[in-house]
Amino acid sequence: MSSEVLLDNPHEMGCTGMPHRKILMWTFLASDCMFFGSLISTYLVYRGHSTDHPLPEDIFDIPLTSTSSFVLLLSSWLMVLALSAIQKGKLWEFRLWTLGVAFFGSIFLGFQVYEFTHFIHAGLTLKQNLFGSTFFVLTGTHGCHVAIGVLWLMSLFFYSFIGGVTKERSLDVEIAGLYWHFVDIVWIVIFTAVYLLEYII
Amino acid sequence: MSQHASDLDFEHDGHHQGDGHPSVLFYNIIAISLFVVTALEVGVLYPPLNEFSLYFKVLLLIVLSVGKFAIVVAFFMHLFFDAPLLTFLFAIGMVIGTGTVAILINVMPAPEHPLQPRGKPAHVEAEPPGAPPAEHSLLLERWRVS
Amino acid sequence: MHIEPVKEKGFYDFLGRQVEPKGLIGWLTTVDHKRIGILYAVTALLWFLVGGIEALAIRSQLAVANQRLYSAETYNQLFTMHGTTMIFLVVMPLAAGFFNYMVPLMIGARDVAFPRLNAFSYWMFLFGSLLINASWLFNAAPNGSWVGYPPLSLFQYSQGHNYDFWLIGLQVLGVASVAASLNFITTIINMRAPGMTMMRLPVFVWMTFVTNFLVVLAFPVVTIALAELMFDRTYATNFFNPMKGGLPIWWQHLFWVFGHPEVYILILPPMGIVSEVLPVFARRPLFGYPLVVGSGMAIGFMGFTVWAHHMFASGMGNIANAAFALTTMTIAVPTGVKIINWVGTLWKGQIRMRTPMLFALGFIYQFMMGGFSGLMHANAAHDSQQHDTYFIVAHFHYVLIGGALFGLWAGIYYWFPKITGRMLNEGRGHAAFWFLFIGFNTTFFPMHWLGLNGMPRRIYSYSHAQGWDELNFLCTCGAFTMAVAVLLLFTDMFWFSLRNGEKAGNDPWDARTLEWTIPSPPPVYNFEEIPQVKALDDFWITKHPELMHHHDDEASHEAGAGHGAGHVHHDDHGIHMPGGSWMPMVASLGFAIGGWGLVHSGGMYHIKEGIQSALDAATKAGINWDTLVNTAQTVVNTKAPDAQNILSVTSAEGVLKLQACYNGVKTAIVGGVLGVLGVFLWALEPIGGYYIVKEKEDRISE
Ligand code: HEM
Ligand SMILES: [Cu+2]
Repeated sequence: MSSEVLLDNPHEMGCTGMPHRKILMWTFLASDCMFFGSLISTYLVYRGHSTDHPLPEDIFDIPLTSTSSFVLLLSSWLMVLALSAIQKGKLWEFRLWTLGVAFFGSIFLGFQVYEFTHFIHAGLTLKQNLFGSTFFVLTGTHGCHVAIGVLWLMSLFFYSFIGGVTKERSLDVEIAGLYWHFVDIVWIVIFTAVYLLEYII
Repeated sequence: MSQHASDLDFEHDGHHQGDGHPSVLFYNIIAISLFVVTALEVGVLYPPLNEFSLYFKVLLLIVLSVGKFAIVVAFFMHLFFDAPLLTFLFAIGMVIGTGTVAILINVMPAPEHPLQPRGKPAHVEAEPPGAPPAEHSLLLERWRVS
Repeated sequence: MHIEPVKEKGFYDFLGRQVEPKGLIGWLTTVDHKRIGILYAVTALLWFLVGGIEALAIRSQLAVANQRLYSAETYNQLFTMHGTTMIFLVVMPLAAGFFNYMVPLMIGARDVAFPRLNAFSYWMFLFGSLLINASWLFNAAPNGSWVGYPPLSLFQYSQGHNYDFWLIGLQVLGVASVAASLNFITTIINMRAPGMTMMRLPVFVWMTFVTNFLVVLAFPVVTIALAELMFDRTYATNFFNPMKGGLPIWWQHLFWVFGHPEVYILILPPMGIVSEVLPVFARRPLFGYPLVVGSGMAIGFMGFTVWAHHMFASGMGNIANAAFALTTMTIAVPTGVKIINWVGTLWKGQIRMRTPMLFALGFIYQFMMGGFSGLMHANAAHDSQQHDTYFIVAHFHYVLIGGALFGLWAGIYYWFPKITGRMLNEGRGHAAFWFLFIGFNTTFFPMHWLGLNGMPRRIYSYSHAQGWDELNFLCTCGAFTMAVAVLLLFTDMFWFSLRNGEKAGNDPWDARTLEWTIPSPPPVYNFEEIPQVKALDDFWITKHPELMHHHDDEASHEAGAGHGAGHVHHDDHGIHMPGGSWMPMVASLGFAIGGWGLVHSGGMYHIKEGIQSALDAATKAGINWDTLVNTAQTVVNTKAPDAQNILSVTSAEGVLKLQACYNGVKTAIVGGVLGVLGVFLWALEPIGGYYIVKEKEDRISE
């Protein structure tokens, strides 16, 4: 190991041959499973307990939500491309894809803002009924995760212009990517459990 | 650092950082299959619902979304190519998390008198006068105020 | 040996980032796991005094029948804060102090994996604990018990900021715990010295590992529960609001999904300490090391399957009750396995009755008692008689004081010499033990009887007719006896022994783990050379090859070639030490300020709803918000409604409260921005630090 790398971060690698941050991130994701698990179970447990309208079927819009799900999947795809680019040292390609991820992440957030205003207009507020409370808190928390991810990726994007993102330090991108994909899989669960199943049971 | 040369435990099968990662083409194929699965999921909603198709649809939705979940975790998040230790770490959270959610849903009481949905109120789109039931619009008024 | 700063100057230097931490700034910016460990422990011990005073106040009130020392409201605040303090501000952080100080030493590392994250955890913990205790200054300490059940904790029934302090304070503490745990899990997995395989880790490290998984998996659940309750209080959502179909029982489920793993978070580290202390003072290897480790893991996993035993009396139905009774009884099995192994370690040992050993023995006996009473109410039918009585109070104090606290005190007596370089006084230590032991059993054993005689938990007072007088008085006497023990320990620790205690040397106990191979107190870099580990209890084998009955691993051939014998590659730069950093403190200060703001926005939408008609009238009359607030101030001062008759005195008070909530939101935003800014600067901070370079002669003379 050259001394430059050592200077840059002598405390990165561990005895398992894996960088510390990767272990930290996966443990954090395990923890986040419990976090979203509690939120999703709150939503599911309270299904059908609302004492007032509107109910999900009154206001859900499946085509709209499906579109935003596609958008989030698309961003995940760009995320792997961005990582793959930086691992090969293709800085410009990395910038392009990263910008794409952040862009589609923002589009997803835009859909969510639209959906929320639409629902509020239809009479669903945080305090209108249990559905409102559980729905807004669950999807809102997920939206906050997306927003943090967008912020993180944009930071990496700008950081790359002052030499902060390089092939040697692609780990930074990998960690951000893990977070981003996790936000995506949480949405996969929410999309099925909250939106799609509503139309069947 | 070379002092921390690899250890007996958690040794992983020769995949080091950077190499062993799949090609862009592979990612593209994965992404396309994810899109297809999502389209299928939405498509499941459209055939008519009856007692038989209900179970079938639920099962299909669960299988499809678990599949999607697994694909993203395994390939986009590289768990499939990475050290088993990481899979183990994540699995702890997944196992305890899903187990807890499943038990919680079962021990909590079901609603005694669930409200029936009344379908999308027409006024949200076009607001023709008198379309929403009087009681409902009163309610709306009350909540708009606050 | 000399110090060479990393040649790297920049923007950050103006912040007084020291090359080598010195003085007060050194402590504020420290990233050294040993200093952070000391900070954790000292803070926890200070809160221990506070919690202890609360306990004495509770016991004084209950000493005799019909007592009225202070109001019932104050009593509620006292027992709520006592529980919250002891669990979150004493036992957990004291254990965290030991994690910090000891785990890197025991695994042969120079620090934890993320030193700055570690500092962040400490500061979050400190500010969270201050936040929750600041409620006393507003006469608004949480007052509905440490479990915070709604509907009592909903805004409708608790309109002060009492529960806002509790909710946000715990939220901040939760972030601290999770951050610390992620750090320790990574450290234990990834920073073990060469040869330190998982099955050679000291049991304390193993228990730390399991505990930290419990923290990482259990705290998110309570985070959600707290957030939902916070939303109910501040934004008038319906999670626990029965008027809108919400189910208060849902809180109980979420809370105990966290709560039961939490009690294991409290007990596993002390179990680890006891597993370290017993072999040293029985001069035998730990009996059945793999079993002790395995049962620790089993306890950790099964801890997630038993939560509803706290809710047997809530009407879950027979099937759920039976299922959870079954899982609860099963969890006693791995617990029993541990006890058998500890006894097995003592069996035929050459026992030395030094103070740490006394506490460890006290632990075994008392923890077992607590386990037995736990088994009694693991039976759902029994529990319907015992739930919410003093029997439960007896149970959890046997496991928490008799178990966790005795274990932690064993740790204090055992490791104090390593941390300070001086021994604690044996005579005073023995006295403290006996005062604590006798006081503890006098306080809590009678509570079993009181509970079975029907004395409910959390009551403010009782009458002669109930026949609980004598036992209650006995309990109070016991409590004050325990206070003597605490005074003995504290004076000894912070005064006598710290100044003139006997010098400890590297290895005063003839112990077995790596921390005893280095000087006391250890140098900043811990190990001059990263040790090479060849066996479980390597250090012990090196010293006493003749005492080993079963020969483990390579040790049988290589006894004597143990620690430090292997030479590892020595970097030309010397040992790199990270520099201090302000950012962890800045970030956590920001989040704490944000929390402060959130506390003061508590009840916002409910208050707004309450004065809605006045607000509407004001809007109609074209009065803007600032004018309205001014008018409200005058109305409140003069105690007469205003000229236009828009604000009555009550609604004027509402307007002022709402204004306070809005200010709270503003503070929260400012704090949050500061916190995020801190995190950003932290991420951009160069690694910096310094090298400790060995002189040529040093290396030759070695
Ligand atoms: C053999 C193991 C154990 C069993 C079978 C057991 C069982 C129980 C049961 C059934 C309850 C509920 C009683 C009720 O509220 O009606 C309870 C309460 C409690 N247990 Fe345990 N327990 C065990 C070990 C522990 C340990 C090791 C700790 C902590 C270090 C602990 C701490 C507590 C606390 C704090 C409560 C009371 C919570 C509250 O309501 O405030 N227990 N235990
Ligand atoms: Cu329990």
